[in-house]
Amino acid sequence: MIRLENIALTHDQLSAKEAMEVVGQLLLNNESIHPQYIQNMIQSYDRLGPYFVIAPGIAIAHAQPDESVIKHDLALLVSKKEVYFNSHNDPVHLIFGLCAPSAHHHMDGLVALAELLSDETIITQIKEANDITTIHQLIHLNHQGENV
Amino acid sequence: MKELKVQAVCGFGVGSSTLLKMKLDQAFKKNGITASVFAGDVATASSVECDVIFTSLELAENLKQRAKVPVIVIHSFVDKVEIETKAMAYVESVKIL
Repeated sequence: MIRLENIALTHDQLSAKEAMEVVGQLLLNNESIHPQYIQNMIQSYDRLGPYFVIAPGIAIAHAQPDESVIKHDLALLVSKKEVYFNSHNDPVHLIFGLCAPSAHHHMDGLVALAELLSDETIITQIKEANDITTIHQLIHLNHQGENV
Repeated sequence: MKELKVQAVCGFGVGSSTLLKMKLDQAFKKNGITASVFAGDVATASSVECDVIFTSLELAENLKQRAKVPVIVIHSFVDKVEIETKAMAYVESVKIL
């Protein structure tokens, strides 16, 4: 669901926008988006607020599917420090970055993501992990157990 | 029994609203409620025909001014208990059973 190179771990104190830039950079490194998509995510945050902080500690940053997206992709930044989005679900430790070229493309990754996010034990373990290999294994473990 | 038309709303109708739609589907199915749940975006949500809207706190403030149907706030889009409780409270309130 999320490849190893799409996962980052930071000990830095990031602002909400900095965290969105870091997770956007992962998508950019994969050539999944054009740089404009990162700006679109941040503009969406400015305009619509932190509605994408969908659960305690969890943000799913994304923007509208448009030509700034090259292919569907999902990345994850785990922040050891608390990130504040001015949401009732602050502080945030898991910042996902999602992109899709059309609304239709969002579905596949999201089903698996929804299951992952519903598992509090795995989420806690991901938050506490100290390296990206462990985080990748935790996500993978959950995904395998799904029986989809 | 009339089928409920339920709209799950986020910024663009593609990301978090799809997560919420899946959770609402599960909640209605578990309780034997026939509901058609679909994802929508905040810009067009109030003009799309539906019986009820579920969305986040931030977007609810925006939607409540325009929507003609009840707008129900979900604090956590992955909390099965919160979503099921609020979904079923809505069903009770319209006495569809």
